[in-house]
Amino acid sequence: MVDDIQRAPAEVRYSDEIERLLAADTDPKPKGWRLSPRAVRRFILGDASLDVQQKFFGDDPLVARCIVSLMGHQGLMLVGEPGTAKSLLSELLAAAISGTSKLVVQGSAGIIEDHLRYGWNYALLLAEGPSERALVASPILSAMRHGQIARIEELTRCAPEVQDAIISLMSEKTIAIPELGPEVESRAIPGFNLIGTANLRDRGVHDMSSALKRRFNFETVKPIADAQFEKELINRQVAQRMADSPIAPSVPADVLDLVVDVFRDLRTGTTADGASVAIPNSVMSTAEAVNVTHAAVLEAAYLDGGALTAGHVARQLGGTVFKDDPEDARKLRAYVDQIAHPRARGSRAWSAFYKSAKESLRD
Amino acid sequence: MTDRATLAQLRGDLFQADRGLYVVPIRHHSPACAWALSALISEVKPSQVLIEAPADFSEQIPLLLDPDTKPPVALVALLDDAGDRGRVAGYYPFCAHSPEYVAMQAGTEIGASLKFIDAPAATKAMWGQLDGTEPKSLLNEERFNANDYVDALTRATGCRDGFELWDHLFETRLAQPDWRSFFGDVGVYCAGIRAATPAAQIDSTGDTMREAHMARAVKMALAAAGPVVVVVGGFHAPALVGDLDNMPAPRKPDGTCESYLIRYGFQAMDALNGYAAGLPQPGYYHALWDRANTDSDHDLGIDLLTGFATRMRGEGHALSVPAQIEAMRMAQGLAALRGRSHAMRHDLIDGVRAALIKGETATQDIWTTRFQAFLCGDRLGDVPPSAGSPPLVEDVRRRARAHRLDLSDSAQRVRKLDIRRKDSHLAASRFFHAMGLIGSPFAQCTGGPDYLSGAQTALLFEHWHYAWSPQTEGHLIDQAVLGDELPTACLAFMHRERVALIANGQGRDLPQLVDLLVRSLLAGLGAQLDGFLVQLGSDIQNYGTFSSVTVALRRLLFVVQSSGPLGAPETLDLRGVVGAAYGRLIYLCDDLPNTSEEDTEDRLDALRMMNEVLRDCDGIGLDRSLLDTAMDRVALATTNPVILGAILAVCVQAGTRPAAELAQIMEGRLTGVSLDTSNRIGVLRGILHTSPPLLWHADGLLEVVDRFIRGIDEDMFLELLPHLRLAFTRLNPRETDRVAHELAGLLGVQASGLIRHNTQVSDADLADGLRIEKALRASLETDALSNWITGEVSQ
Repeated sequence: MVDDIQRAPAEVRYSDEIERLLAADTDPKPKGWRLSPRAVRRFILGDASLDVQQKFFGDDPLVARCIVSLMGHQGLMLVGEPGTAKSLLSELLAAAISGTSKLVVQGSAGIIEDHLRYGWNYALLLAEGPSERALVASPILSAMRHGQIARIEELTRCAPEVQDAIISLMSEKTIAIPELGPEVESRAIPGFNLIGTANLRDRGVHDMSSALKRRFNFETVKPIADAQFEKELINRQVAQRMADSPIAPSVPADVLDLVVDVFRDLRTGTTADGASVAIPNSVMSTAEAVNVTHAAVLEAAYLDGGALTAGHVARQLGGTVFKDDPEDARKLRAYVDQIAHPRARGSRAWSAFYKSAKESLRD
Repeated sequence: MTDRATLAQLRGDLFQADRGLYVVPIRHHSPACAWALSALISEVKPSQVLIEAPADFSEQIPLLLDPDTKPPVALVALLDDAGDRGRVAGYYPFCAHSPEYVAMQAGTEIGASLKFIDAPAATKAMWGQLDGTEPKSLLNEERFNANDYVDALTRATGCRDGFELWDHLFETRLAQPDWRSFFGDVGVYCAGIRAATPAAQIDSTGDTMREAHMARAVKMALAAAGPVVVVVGGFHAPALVGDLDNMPAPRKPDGTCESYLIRYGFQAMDALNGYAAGLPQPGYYHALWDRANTDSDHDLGIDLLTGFATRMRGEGHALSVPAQIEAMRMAQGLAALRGRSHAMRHDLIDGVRAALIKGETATQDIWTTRFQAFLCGDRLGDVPPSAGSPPLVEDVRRRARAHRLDLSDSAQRVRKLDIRRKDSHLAASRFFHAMGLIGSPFAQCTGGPDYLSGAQTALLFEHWHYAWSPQTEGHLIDQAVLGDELPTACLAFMHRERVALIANGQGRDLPQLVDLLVRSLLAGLGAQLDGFLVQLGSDIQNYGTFSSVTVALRRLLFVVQSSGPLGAPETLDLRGVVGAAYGRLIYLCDDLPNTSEEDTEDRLDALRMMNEVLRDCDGIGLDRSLLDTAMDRVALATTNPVILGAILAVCVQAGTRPAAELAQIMEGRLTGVSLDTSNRIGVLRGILHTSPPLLWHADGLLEVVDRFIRGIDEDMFLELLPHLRLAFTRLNPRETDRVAHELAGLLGVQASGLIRHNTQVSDADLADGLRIEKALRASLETDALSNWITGEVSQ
């Protein structure tokens, strides 16, 4: 069955690892936790002796802080640029701590309070009146009842009044259900907590109120710091995406170097040799680098029928990353003129990049 | 030397009671080591305590133990390096919890003799890569953090770096009584580090030579009287426990060295530790040490967080009690997760980070920075008066003598310096400027080129008044914390100035920053300004506005093209900054089309300045085509007429647009329908402001203007007159004359014929005039306003 779905949840993908960790786990466990905090850390950061692979890279102390945060009363809020594996981390934490990562609310403008508390099966409601049977529990209510971790993705996409519903829920750790009787409520049992992921930078997101912020510990997940590792990751992901494609030109090493250089320069605001660069508003994450490379590979394979060059990357950069912000176009132009141009003298890849970027900026 | 048996052997070898030899491996500034060492000394009762510190510092031991000496203090060595590096300074700091300092105190108490046994500070082996640009520590402990063995251990323990690992393994054991097993573990740990260090590296860093010095001293001490306690950095311990005979002969010092005891501070120590010596954030370790000595079982973490919260509230930063509690819970939870009995430094920092930050953070967030500053502490030490005058004073005296300045009394003297032709005079001038830079009252420049305002920069001589007054000396003593030598002090001072600019909200004021650059070049700091330049480049890229970048660019180009007093060394990447400024300017061109009313004047001046300084781009290595393309791109998008005129003028001059277009656009503007009269003249004003010759060089431009002015009626003319005057005031007399001639040529007459002279004054007119003047004078005098006529200012 698993083969037929695009992506199985973490607890299924890594079920064997979790089993091994469970068997070897001798450390004390907080109430309601399936694995001990140390085993959770091993699950995420890897443990060679149990053949557990590392799944989250680059910031070990952050993982420790996340685990300890979830042991307390505060929720955990993962923030940071898109494409930095926030959701993956929240999924892994939930899978390891509660054994399920499926109690998730996918935040959007269409979310209403019912999605966070409970709704009704209206056929049953009309037939029987309010009853436990007619009640449709939200993932959060289920998590409270069973002492598990619930996740809210993209919290800042929900309307502020919906976000507000979480405030009292987090302080009281209870949901009142007056429809079932005057004193009926669901109190969270030990093991319950919330992991939110949020994007604070995109346009069209709602600010979190400070009351809500107070109920969460924030952790910023940063882009990958190691250029070499980023290269490998991009290469691997592009190869995965192209796995089903009948033609799949490989990504030459110099083009990959160029992609990583361009993204790192524009992300950090300084080049490796210390020149400063204006940082665009567009997100220059590793995920976007994968998108650009993937699109460039597709263009090379299906439109040009040839090998992938840096020129394809330059063309895709405009469409994939720099979408419609004139300010960003200006920053890209400055980058192309001042950074790419001098580099073009010494490198074939940069020369192709410069020429093609110059052309696509003209129109 | 890595197998278990050898390591077990080492444990035994550290303390050889039969030989009377106790080798104590320590890490500098580690309170846990200090505690165990103090216990060891009171139990072993040695007759000699040998300490790994430069042997030629031994004379400072009595001063270090003086009751008036309050740590943190530092021994600073100034070495006259015979080579090209000039004088270099090295620091050897002590704080109350330094094992070396504790060993000296404990040793003195029991009457042991004390001795420093490392190679003299003046041997090359001690100096490594000191280059005189930054304060350097003589305690090199880089290997505690960058070493394969340490890396492997951090991975195995889940610690993030060597510092956390050290705390995890050793500082958690502070105040435990069993010094034998403690130092045994430190010894094994350090032996592991040593085993992972290639022998060639140990040689090349000078460690072999230093160990030879130490081994010889230990041998001599053993021969004299036992027991002997040897306090050395853990890395050297394995070299001193075995056979002391087969060691290479120690080398003689390579230069001469003066040492001073100076007061020191935790902040300076923390900065020094940034160069990989000892442990960072000394305030935290001091608190650990204090807590161990007061015998309290109160949790230090709670106290530190409470102290931090109190200070933050005092400074006006909101920090709620629940957040404070959550920080502590996090710290304790992390300590438990990481297998520590109580929260250590990294746990506390992580706790603060998790509990206090509400939002997305950059690499270094404000709360972590605040907490780290809190943990760093701000304790300042003290030294007795007998420690003598600080090195900075001595250094300045020495330099002044080298420049043949008379400091024998405090009388004011005069010096005339031929700064462009005599190198020695230029050097003296730089010395004066450097003194001026740190705000010393020592000298005043009474005449000569003023590079700051750009006035009279071609002058050959500088005239100076100078006097070595008590104020001069007092000022230098005050500034002694800045550094031990004038250039170092200047750099520290610049850093302070810069911080002050930022605090005043002027951190983004590019002209001010360029001023600072010019002042430090005059002070001869050229070779050390790399860091400042990199920062300046990034400030320009991030904060420069069109006008501020133009001003900065003009002054930077002036510096680049200067030689002599303002000349910068080749190695200084001034062109990089010029390139950054140029790049920013091009980037900002896209702002020009939407210039607002209030920015118009500034940008108009900037465009004119830009047009002048960038006339010869190739000569200064800039790619003019970038600017031309940008200008050309924004030209027709510009709505502000004045800026449009200026941009068009730049384009026509650069040849990217035909001159005929100027006349065409001008005609359109002048004859078009506009509600605002000033708009009509705007384009003309922009052109005249940027490049007046275009008025007669650009085909048809003058005709268009002439036709327009002749075509309008009297009322319209009067309405336009102020704007026309504003536009034409930019012309200098010669240019006005030229316009008149061109105009006359256009009309087919002589220029003189255009002017109607009116020199005929009748006697009656003259009489009238005199009468009116007399009455006016009388009236002003009556009103006590006669100074309106004389122009004197009333007192």
